[in-house]
Amino acid sequence: MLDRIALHQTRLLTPGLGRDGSGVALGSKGVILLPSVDRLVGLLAVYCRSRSLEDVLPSLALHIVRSDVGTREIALECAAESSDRMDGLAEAARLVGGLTFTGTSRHFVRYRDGAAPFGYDASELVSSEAPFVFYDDRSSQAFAIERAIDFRSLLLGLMLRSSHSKEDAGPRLFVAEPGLGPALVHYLVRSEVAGEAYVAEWPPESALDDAPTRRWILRVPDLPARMRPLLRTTPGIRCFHPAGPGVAVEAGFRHPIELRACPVFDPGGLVFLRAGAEPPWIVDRVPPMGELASLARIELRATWEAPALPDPARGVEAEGVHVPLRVVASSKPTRRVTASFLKRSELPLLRRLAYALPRASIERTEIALTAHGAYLRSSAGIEAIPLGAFFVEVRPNLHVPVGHEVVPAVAPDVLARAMGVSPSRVLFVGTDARAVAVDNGAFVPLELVLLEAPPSEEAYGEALASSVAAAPIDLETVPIGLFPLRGIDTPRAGD
Amino acid sequence: MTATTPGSSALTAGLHDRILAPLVLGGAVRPVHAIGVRAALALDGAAPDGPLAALVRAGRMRAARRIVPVDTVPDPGRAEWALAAALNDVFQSVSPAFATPLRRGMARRILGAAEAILDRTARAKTAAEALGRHCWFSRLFELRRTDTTVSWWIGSQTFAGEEPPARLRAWPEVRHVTVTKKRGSLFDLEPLAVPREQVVRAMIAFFSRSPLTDFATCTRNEPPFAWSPFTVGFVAEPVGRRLALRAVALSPAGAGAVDDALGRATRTIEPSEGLAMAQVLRFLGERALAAAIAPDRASADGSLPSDAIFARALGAFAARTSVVEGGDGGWPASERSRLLTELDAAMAKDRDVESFVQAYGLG
Repeated sequence: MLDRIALHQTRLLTPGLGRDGSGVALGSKGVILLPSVDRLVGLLAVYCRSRSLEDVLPSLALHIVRSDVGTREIALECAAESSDRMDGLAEAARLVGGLTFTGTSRHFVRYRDGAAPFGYDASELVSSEAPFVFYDDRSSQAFAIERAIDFRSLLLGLMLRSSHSKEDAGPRLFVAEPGLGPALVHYLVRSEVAGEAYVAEWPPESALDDAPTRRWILRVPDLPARMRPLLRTTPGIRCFHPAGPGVAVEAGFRHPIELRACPVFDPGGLVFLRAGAEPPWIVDRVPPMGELASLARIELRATWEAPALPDPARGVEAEGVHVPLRVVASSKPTRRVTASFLKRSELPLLRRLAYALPRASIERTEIALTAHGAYLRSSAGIEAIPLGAFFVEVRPNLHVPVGHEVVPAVAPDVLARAMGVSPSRVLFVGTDARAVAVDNGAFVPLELVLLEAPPSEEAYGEALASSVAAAPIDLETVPIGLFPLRGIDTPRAGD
Repeated sequence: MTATTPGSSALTAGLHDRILAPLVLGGAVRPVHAIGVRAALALDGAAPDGPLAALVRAGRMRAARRIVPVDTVPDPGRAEWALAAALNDVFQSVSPAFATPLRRGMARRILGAAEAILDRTARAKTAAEALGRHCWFSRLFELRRTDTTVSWWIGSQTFAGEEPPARLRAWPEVRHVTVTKKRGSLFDLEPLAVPREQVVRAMIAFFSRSPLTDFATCTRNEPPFAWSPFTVGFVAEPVGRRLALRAVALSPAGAGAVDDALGRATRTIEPSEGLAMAQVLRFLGERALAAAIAPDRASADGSLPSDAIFARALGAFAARTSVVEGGDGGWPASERSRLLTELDAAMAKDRDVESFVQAYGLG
């Protein structure tokens, strides 16, 4: 089926097969035939360990091909370019049990090996319409393309392997759940750790969710070693190491293929490869990130009183009918009691009550501490914490006291617009009709601020130091006692 | 192993915490009451457990690993407890409290008991035993006693190995108080109730029971290193010789001081002891060969004492003989030639070595 090409042989039978400058038979393409996907991954892993796929990628195509007898194989196709490139691919293929072929359009002969340094030529051609006809030293076989494999999808679909290498310094990316984001930012800023952050949005995970999924993404160039274990093990925070432009791999794991050698990810986006069977998080476009220091101001701003701004739509005539807002008692049944206000004097009660609160209540409750007191809110109802003055949420981010209503009895949306409610500002209207605005970012989960963990102490340093240090040896004089010779026996010769 | 009595357990615990542990880890050595021969030789049992014992074990391991890469060191046995008891009695006998006319005899009896204990303690039979003992006593020569002299405007008082009372140091400006501290080794103590040569004799006996410590501290002033049947016997075995070579190579005093001590000791070997001289020559020969292989590790001969030059020349003579007699010995020709040149140069520094060796019937 194949003939070895001689040194000065010029005529080759296989169409599209020529000889390059060093005399090696080479077509315009190279194809590596592999029996399974895991061999394909092995081939890529071996090749990428020492070379980059950057120059191969533009012409790289992966196919599942099927022979006439029904066997399926994986075909990796790329531009042959030169015998140097093909030698590298052939060596890697030999290691994982693949066969390397070269050709131009349809007929592919075995690439050169130790037995034929200049390659092979087909002794007779097979008449077939199949896109791949491979000529081996014992047989010729035609393969039809069953389907293509997307290289990027293959990389994203591979499960990560655990890595036991020691964690080293270097940039890290953290993905934090929305409730943990502000606290994490505050923690990093308080620890004087530089970094950047932004909030990424993904489409709802199911049709039942109506809001996009948001997560905080933080990039920390150099995380101090003492903070690494905490951030790696805190539930809700996942740590990633950059594994190449536009891709990061979860800490403690590595991708089977060296991703730095596979520039298939958009450097402007970010792909987070997660451990286990979880699909990767993909951010198509990373917006300019904000410095952590500028995001950490979660303290409550000063009390904000909504100024009575004239409505420009109504013009000058509207000024004549403005009336001040009043809050009056109401006999209407109350719904959605989701917030409360605790004066500073009531905070000790909250501390005592915290020991008796069920976990679910603590989990759902958020708190914002202000100069006047604390605002608590819980989407499932705040009644579980029977302290302070309760508020009803008449509209998102607009609260009025329980058992009260505002007059004039305008629609909640109108009231919200008049008071300047925005997604970043939560308004509490008191019984005296004064409004207090609290920054939405000031609300942090109650469970994060509740526990005052005792500081840990290092207990082993001294013992180790004392065992290593060579202290001087001092002979101390001790009292000889009243009977210094007690127990001293005079030995006899031969004893 | 014999059963231990409660009394002996308390005594071993006291010896461990007050004598052995400070000798390994550093700190204050506070002797217990004088023990005596019979009680010392009856001591047995393992070292007590506890945090201090763990630190001592680590310290012993560190001392052992300076010489040989071992993972365990043997626990103290009867001989080690007896050595500790003997040291305790030596320390008791030099107490200044005995330096009165009526008590000098007591100190001599206690020191005599210590010598008797050492005489009756078994010598190290294996290299492991010698290493185990050396781990306990490797820092023995670092032991010092701090004598504090407090002087004030009308008088002064010296406190040997103890802190002066605070009242004597009170009002230092008004009373012109001066505190002078002086640290002295076991052989420099004043006042001493026992003859100094008896203390030296006891320590020589002690070293005969811990030969590796004898080699490791060979550059000491008192008692000077000397070849004894115990040290010669130790280096007669290849393992012992290797340990001894490593111990002397680690001496902080340097290679020159070690060669000086070895040369001085070798000169004193009687001509009738040809067999001992043969073992000493083998020891010195291996040391000279190691120096010739890595010449930068040995100090230069420029300002060496004559005894050090003599020891090196003697070692070079022995090494040259073994290299010549051993044929090529696996050495590449160029390396063998270089070694012989180095050894010849060392031998040439002292021309009397050949006649010296012939006097013992060797060479």
